[in-house]
Amino acid sequence: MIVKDSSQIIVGGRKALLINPPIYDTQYWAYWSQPHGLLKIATWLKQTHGYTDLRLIDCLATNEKRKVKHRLIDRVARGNVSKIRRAFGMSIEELESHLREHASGENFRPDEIWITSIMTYWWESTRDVIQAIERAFDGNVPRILVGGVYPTLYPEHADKKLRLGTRIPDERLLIVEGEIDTVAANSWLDLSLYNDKIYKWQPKYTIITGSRGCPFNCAYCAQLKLNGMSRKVRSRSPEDIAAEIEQKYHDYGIREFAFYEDNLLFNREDFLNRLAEIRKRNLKIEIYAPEGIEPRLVEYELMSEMRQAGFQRVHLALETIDNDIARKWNRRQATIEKFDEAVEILTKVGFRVGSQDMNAFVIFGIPDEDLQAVMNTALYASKRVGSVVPMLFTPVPGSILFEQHRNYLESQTNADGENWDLHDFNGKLLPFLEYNQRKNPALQASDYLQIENLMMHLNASKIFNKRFDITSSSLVGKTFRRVMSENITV
Amino acid sequence: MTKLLLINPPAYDYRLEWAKWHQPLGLLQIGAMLRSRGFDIKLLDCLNFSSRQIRKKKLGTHEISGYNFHKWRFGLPEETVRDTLCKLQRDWYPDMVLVSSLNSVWWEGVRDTVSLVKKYFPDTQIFCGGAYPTAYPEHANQNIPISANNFFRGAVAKASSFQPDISLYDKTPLQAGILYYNYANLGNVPEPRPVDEIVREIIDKARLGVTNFGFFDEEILPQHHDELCNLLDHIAKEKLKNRRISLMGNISPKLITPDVAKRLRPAYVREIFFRCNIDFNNPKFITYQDQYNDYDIATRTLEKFQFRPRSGEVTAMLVAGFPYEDIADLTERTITLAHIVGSVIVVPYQYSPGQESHPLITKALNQNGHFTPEMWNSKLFPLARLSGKKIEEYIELLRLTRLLNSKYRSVTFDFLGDSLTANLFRQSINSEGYTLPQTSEGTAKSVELTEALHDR
Repeated sequence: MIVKDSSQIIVGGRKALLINPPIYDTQYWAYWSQPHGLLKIATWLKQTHGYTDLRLIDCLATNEKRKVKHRLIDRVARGNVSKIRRAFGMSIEELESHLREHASGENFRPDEIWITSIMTYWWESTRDVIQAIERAFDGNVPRILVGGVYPTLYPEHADKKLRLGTRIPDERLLIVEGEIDTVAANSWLDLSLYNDKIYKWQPKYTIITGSRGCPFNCAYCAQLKLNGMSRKVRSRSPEDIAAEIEQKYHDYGIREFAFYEDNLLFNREDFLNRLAEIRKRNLKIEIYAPEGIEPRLVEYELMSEMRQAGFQRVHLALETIDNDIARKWNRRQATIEKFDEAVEILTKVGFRVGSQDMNAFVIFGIPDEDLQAVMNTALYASKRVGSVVPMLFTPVPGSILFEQHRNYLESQTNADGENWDLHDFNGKLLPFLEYNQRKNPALQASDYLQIENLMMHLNASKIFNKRFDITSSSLVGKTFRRVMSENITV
Repeated sequence: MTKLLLINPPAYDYRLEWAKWHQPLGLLQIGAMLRSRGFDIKLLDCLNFSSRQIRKKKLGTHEISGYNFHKWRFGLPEETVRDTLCKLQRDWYPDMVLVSSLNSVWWEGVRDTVSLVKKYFPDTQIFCGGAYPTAYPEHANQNIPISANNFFRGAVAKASSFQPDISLYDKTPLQAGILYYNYANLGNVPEPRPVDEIVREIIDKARLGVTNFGFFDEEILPQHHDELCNLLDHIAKEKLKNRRISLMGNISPKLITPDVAKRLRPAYVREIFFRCNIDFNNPKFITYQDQYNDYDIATRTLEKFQFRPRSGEVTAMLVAGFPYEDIADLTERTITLAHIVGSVIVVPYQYSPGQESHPLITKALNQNGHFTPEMWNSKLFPLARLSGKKIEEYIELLRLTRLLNSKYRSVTFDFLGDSLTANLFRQSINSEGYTLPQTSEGTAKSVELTEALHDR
């Protein structure tokens, strides 16, 4: 059953389990792993609805090295490569044993179980968690509410597929579409839930969501649907954000904060006020924005304030050097000239090129892409910024590119003859390989891996604080270019 | 019983490549010889790193053309050395001390070690040998505070027939240098040691705990191809589980025939660094002897016998830093060797007096009037600089090599390969596709639109 408003969701419960499932993927960057939506829900349940017993089972809680354990689950053949898929985080078996504590009475019996589900291509582990709940509670399951990015972007899929293999009645398994409640969305994260015997290590980092929404609709992004088709950027007050940071600093020893926002710099004045509020509190912290910032919004005063407030590095959405391609992706607002200007400004502020102070996202694996443009973009990013972050494109339900290619994606079949499902759309599994092979029959899966590899090679370590410069005017640089040019294969 | 303390001093250098392989074989051979004659021997090897971490202490900075070369003392911390000498002073006062030197540019480490030894053992005779007093006898006389008669120059011929005695270490090091040749007959073409002698040495050292063996010879000569095959066959017969052998820059690609290649992995060889053979015969040029085809054949042959391509298991060494060399040619060779072999190491040419001479080297030396031994450190590319080359070019070459050798998912990228990606890369370089497109009309329209959006 798909639900949208809080009157259908809050029905007088007092005790809840909150679960962040493990995930199945070919790789997982756990550095900022934290179920921030669920942790806000926890605060909202306690403070607004008087919940008395809450417990978080974060299957992706990191260790002291900010990593999670993993094990092999299967291999997926894609063209001429074979990708290993792993289960990251707590095993379903271990999760089930914790659930049994609550089913048996050893620990409180929950009225509800809230599950967050993030990437659409991670849906399978959410399904497996629900099956584990049914087994643990021997059919007498509490209400289960599944929320997050996946159920919001594709509620019909969640409503149908998450029930598979269970006998849970409709009304006991609720798919929460969209934002439950503004108060919930603006709540502070409840990190006290990590004071639990299942966690050997308390996180020393946290995620702050200061705003939601973005006025743009880039073709590869689903934020518009995620934000209920609203282009409005809604921000929390700067004082509230700074106060949350201060609370996390003093009460939990947090020193690293990541802003996860759809368009961090859009409300310029608001953001400047936020930084000022943070600086007022004289906290020695480091701030990051791993999802990136819009280059066209980079300006000297803003960047200077960011640096002084504690920003350690900047991730820039470059995506492509080609303005025509950017326009095709509905990114008219993003030109390479603006990007170049942004790098210039950041350099003046003190962010250093080639040091990971600045990083550029380069997207590839897109349908009908021009691979030469991808290469040009990667080399430009390496030269101009010094650190390239390759991003293989995942078609996300709700995004323009997904809707344009929905028929294609849903008609593809795997080796067993079954139609592709959401997990097959994972960018790392190259969902548009066969599509792009239509125009370029020589294209292979290994070519995408090679492109990704090359981008990582360009980030090779430095000597005397600099990497090799492909545009260098030195004899070495000129010779390198000559040798490369003499070996063009037509 | 005469007590003799053998010391391998710390290294004073800008970086310490192959740190775990600086084993003083000569010193260990002398130790073996004198032990057999009834000496009571102890060893203090300051370059024996028991942990992965190389211990170092900054000494200073040398600036060249705006580049700061930081100099470090690599080795056991001075406090540890003092503690050791203090204990020996109390419990085992040596009658003699022999301080070796693996490298003439590290002479300051020898000097400081001798000074320290004199403090703790003022009555003891101190001797000094190895590369430094051999290359710079006068400088050593003037700077090392020992009697002029107490220097050993050159190899100790009688010790050459002894195996390096690693039991002199308190804790067996994980790596051991092995010599393929018998160097007792100095001046003649060396003869390979008997196969059973080498194999016995490997087995004995493996039993003591050594896991990594490296052949330390300057070169394994192509004329000893059959003897090498025979040795590999014998090693392969031994059960040396979890042991590995490295061929460290002493094997020419020409020596990698199918007969040799097929025997390498069974004989636990896991790492091959191709020797860079230099031709000093042409008075106008210093050139490389091996052709690209030699490397190509060798690399493909090794791949057939399970050496993984582009994984770092096979590497070409390339000596650079000769005076008057052509930087463009050197760069092209670096790129091509990386393409063919998969990895390439640029080895700065280490000049030492008494080595092979060449008119170009003599010409460059004539520009000098002031270099002391440590300034001949190859990492400063002294000969090349004397001939007018810029250090920046060599630093850029090292950066290029870092890119060529960088691994992702355990392999290097083949920039000259046939893959689509490599071709796209070369196209991008050729067309300068990475530069900003020049579309002023497009730029103006974009600016208009973005201003409008910002105002919304």
